[in-house]
Amino acid sequence: MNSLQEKFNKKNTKILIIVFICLFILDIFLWFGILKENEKLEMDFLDVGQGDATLIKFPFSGEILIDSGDGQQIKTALSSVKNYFNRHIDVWILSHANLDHYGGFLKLIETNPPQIFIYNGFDSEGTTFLLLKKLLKEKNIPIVTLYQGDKIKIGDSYFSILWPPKNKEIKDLNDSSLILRLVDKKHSALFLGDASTKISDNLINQQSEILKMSHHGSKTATSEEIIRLIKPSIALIGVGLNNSFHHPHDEVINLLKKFDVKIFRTDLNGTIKIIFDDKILIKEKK
Amino acid sequence: MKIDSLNLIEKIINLPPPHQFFLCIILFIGGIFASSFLFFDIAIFIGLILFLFCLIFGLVGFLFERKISILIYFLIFLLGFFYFQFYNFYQEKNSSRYLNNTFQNDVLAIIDNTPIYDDGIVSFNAKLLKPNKGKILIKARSYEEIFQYGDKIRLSGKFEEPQKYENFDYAAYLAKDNIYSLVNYPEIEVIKRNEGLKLKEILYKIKIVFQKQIDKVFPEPESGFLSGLLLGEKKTMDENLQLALQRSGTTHLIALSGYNITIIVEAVYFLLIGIGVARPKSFFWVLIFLIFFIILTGASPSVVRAGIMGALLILSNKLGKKYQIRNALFLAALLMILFNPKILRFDFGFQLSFAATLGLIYLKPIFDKLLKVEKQSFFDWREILATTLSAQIMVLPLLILNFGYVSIVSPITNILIISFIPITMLLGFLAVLISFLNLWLGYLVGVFSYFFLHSEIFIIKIFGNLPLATLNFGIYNKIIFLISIGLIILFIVYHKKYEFVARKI
Repeated sequence: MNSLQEKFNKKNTKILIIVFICLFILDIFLWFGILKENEKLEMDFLDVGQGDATLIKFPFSGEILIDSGDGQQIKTALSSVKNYFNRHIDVWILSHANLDHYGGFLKLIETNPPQIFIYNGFDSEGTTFLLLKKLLKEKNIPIVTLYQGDKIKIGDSYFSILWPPKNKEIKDLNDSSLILRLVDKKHSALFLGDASTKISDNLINQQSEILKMSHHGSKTATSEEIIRLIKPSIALIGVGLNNSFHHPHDEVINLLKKFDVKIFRTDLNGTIKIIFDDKILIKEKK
Repeated sequence: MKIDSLNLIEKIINLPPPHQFFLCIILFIGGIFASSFLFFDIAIFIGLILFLFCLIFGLVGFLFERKISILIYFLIFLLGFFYFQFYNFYQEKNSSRYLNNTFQNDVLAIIDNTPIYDDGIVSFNAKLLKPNKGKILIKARSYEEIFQYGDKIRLSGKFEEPQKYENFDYAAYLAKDNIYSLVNYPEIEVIKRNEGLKLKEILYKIKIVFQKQIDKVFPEPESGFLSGLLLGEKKTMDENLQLALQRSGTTHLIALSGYNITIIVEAVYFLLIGIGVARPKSFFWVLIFLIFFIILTGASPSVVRAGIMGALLILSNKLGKKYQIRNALFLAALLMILFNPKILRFDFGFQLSFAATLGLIYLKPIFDKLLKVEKQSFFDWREILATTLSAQIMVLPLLILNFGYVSIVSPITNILIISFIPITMLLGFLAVLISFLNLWLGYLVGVFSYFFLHSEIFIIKIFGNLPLATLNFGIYNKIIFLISIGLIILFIVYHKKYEFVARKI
């Protein structure tokens, strides 16, 4: 009788231990989630190889993903900056319909679709872009087109859209890029998409501390004029290591150095986290 | 010397029946193996000469000694030898080879497996319909998942011969599945759906649904790793992780499902016994689990083969004598080889799962003793270590032969990780199943699997990114392969002798 009792106790202890371990693991995850809740605006410039992708987390509010790379690394990059229980992204913004900017959306749409999809209204004729639009429609995700002068307000911060103007015909997809300026209480960031100097040279009111370099640091997309106008202190370049386009161009790098701009490249620095505190804080995650 | 060899013959003739049976299987398989190195003409020529020899010696032996059993063994070897050649001859005759290097318009075919989508490129096998014959491998561009198993398609494109690369015989690799032509980026049109086998269609659908659910429950790269573990599907995995897996010597976990199944079966069995299910009952449940698992992975031939090995492994705990399970293993291998003799030399997955099981039969008892493993304990690390070591060591020569390099960190990474792989798989599997009921519940259960997956990937990356993680043998891999096999055999024989002496004392 006694031995039976012992056996029963032994089994119970085992179960108890397992339950405790389970609870402990859940606890760790929970606290991670709580401690990670940010009070400041955070921007993650993701390492997605050759392509752009930026995740912006607004304090006590939603998250916006601007572009998504070509898709090969978007999921890994995202899970490195998000926690297990919070995989949702509220808004997707596509600067323009090139595969190295929207490819990642195709990868994400099955598992974590957004609530709204925003783009510049210029469709690419490629079958893949049509597929993306078809999938968005199938999932009943509203597609919103924004133009020059529009604004997106989120809490204390807002995006103003500087380009393209409404009803303007633009032949080059790169030049149709949605140009966004993110303005927080103290800091601002400018997203140039892939727009060439023809467009960005003529923008008004675009001074920003953080500049997402246009077209992965290509020569045709950055001029001395622009750097003078924007006066950035931090430049972000989304490029893959040893990419076949030889981005970023040496001239662009030299130009930035000349103006004392700090350069962060995804191929060398990995994912770059920028926190909009009193000062701008930067963390690299290779 | 002469007397010695006569003695040997005498010994072989007087073996007890189970061992005679074993010898027959070995000889037949040996015949197939030897034959697989030769071309048809040469093989038939050599085979006939050997057969003649056989006849003459047999006649002489019969007339003078009245003993022919040794001759029967030899004939069995020859049977295997010829079997491979005729199988190969028949397959090549019925292949699509005659179409190679030509451009074909409007060829009709049926998709024969689950198409794999990888960043805009899809690849799948297709069976050509009359008037053509044979199987082909198609690569096409498509972001959208339009192709499915069982689709009837019409294609126009160039048929090409698979290449033989310097360190990888792609042609032989495809030929083992009886594929002799490649068609890259043809024009394809789906004419009709659901033209394949109904059962296979259902199985593949289950697999796809499960695959997608894994993606939903787990983030990358954990989801890619888990679907590699569970479904043996490489699919689109993070490149950095893939490289780290190679360098840390853990690719076998995700690429080749045979090895996993052996491990998982062992683990589930011990888990059930640990919980307190009686042995015969656990055997039954493991079998059910195994069938379920095989169905889930799409029941591809390699997984079915691995499943049979796995079932044999648990059977080994029921069969008392070691030679019984050994015979069962070899018999199973023989049946698979009869079904497709090419797997013996060209299917790495088959070789791995066979070797791993062999390791568990021959090496594990030794390690059990060395590590003083006690029977029937729940989650005993010594048991796990013994299992890991015996499978790993047996598989090592194959890895050397196939990849030409050995990951130095491999033993450490594997021992650190493998012990947790079954529990990771089990929890992951459970989480995905539950997530069908409710996604959030799935997340909650998935946390545990995620915890393991995340840690495992962390370890793999750390060890994989170490400089000098691999040791390259280059062209010496064949010699090292033979040496390592010799060492393993010596190890087994030594311990047998030791055991024998110990018993005497």
